[in-house]
Amino acid sequence: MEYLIEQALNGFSIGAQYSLLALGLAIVFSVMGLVNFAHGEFIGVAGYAMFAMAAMGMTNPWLLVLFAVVTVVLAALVIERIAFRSVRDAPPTTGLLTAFGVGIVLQNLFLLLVSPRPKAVPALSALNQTVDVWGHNFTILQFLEVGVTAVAIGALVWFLRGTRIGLAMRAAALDFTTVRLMGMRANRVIAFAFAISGLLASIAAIFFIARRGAIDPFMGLLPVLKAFVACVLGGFGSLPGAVIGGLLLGFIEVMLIVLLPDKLAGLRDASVFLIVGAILVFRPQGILGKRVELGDKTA
Amino acid sequence: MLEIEGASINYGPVSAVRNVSLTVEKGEIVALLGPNGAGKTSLLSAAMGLRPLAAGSIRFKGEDLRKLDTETRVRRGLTLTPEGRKVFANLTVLENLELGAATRKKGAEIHHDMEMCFELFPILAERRHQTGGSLSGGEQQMLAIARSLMSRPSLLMLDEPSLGLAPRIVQQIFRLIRDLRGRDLTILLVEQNAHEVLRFADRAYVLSTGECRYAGPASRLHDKDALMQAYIGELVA
Repeated sequence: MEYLIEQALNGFSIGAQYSLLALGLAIVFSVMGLVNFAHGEFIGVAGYAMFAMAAMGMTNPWLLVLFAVVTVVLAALVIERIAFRSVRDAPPTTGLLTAFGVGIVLQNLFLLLVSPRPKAVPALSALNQTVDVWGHNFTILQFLEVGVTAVAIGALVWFLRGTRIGLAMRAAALDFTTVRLMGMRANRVIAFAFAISGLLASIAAIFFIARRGAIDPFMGLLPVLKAFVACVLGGFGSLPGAVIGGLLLGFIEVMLIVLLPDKLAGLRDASVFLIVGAILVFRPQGILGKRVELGDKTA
Repeated sequence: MLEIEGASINYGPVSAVRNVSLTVEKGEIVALLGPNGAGKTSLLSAAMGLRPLAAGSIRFKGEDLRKLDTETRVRRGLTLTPEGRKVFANLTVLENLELGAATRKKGAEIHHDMEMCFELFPILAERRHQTGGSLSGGEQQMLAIARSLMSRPSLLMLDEPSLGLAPRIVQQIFRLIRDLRGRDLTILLVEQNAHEVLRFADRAYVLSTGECRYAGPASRLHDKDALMQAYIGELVA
């Protein structure tokens, strides 16, 4: 029982990371119909930003975290401006290829400017200390992951419901042309979508880096795939779907860690995708997916 | 107020509008008539900057619009209630109106205009917390017009506001459009429902297969034969 409770929180905290990443993918997709596969590289940007500042002698973990978040948001805005804006009206495959291109460029920048080998980023390792709560062993990080993710999602909901640009983003998910007819600037709406996706990715990145304690140029590849799967699972383009898909994926993963014997540990990711595939056989549109969210896209 | 001169619009190799000129003066209701596929919607899209002009010019209040993007044209006082209403189905009535005021900053004035919209369309006030998608066709059309009014336009362009609505609702919408003239608003109205519109429009243009077939007072088309001839061919007079 004790083990079960600990693993449940573990599933929540890993799922929370996937949810944050999946939300970022879903926001950009819903506004401009782009699956941004360079999204995973935001994790790399956060990691190398922290690594660079630590190498220059900054030791305060709060400042490192702040620096990483700001850098990722700025990077997201710059990437939108120089890479995605020029192909905005092109066919969707052009956007997809551009995203892959941006990802490869960033990976190789990390590789050339720093090193192809993993580098240690130990600044946040203290978060892995275990604390005793009513006889259960948890890490501080797990609580932070669940708590910060909940706050971030709450803030996002407020933003989408309570601000004009948030309203425009929700409206743009259905019909961007009519949003422009209201006089709402398309560039601003899309820049906000990228900034938010970068912000959410940077939060996920910080947790990811705190867990691993190390960074490497290709660290974003697997997480972006998982986030993509979470989106598909929840229903592509649906924001609540991205959250639910991410949490479900986290739970399935942790469940398999618990259930699969050590001998079969190598089949873990394959089994995860097998289960996801089985769910999609019964709900091809995803858990919360609706046809309207994908259709009627005019811009 | 709006001067379109020699406008041509192409969709790839297909020419949708050829050498059409159209003007709207302040305070007028101008009807733009014609059968399906005549190029009426293309012309409005070009006026909003959603479609490029292959040739010709568009001026609004004396300013050349060709270099301005859609968002800036809205800020200049031009607005389009698009064909098919295009209400934001996932947003509430209030949120739809709020987005309609996207170009404006002063919260108190926006609130005042929303109350004005609710006076014009009492049914929207009742439904203010419902989503746009849950409204009936007529209510959606009212919401679409109210949303356009929220930008405080000087020229309101309406694309087929009667499309798909019951006759009783159509009468209500047309009555409302007539009332709007009294509110210092100039209106360019695209319709297939020609007879109804010609009763209250000042001037009319008839477009057919991308070309202008008639330009003149609306009253001259009250005669059925004249209207028919404008639609399908040269006057034999």
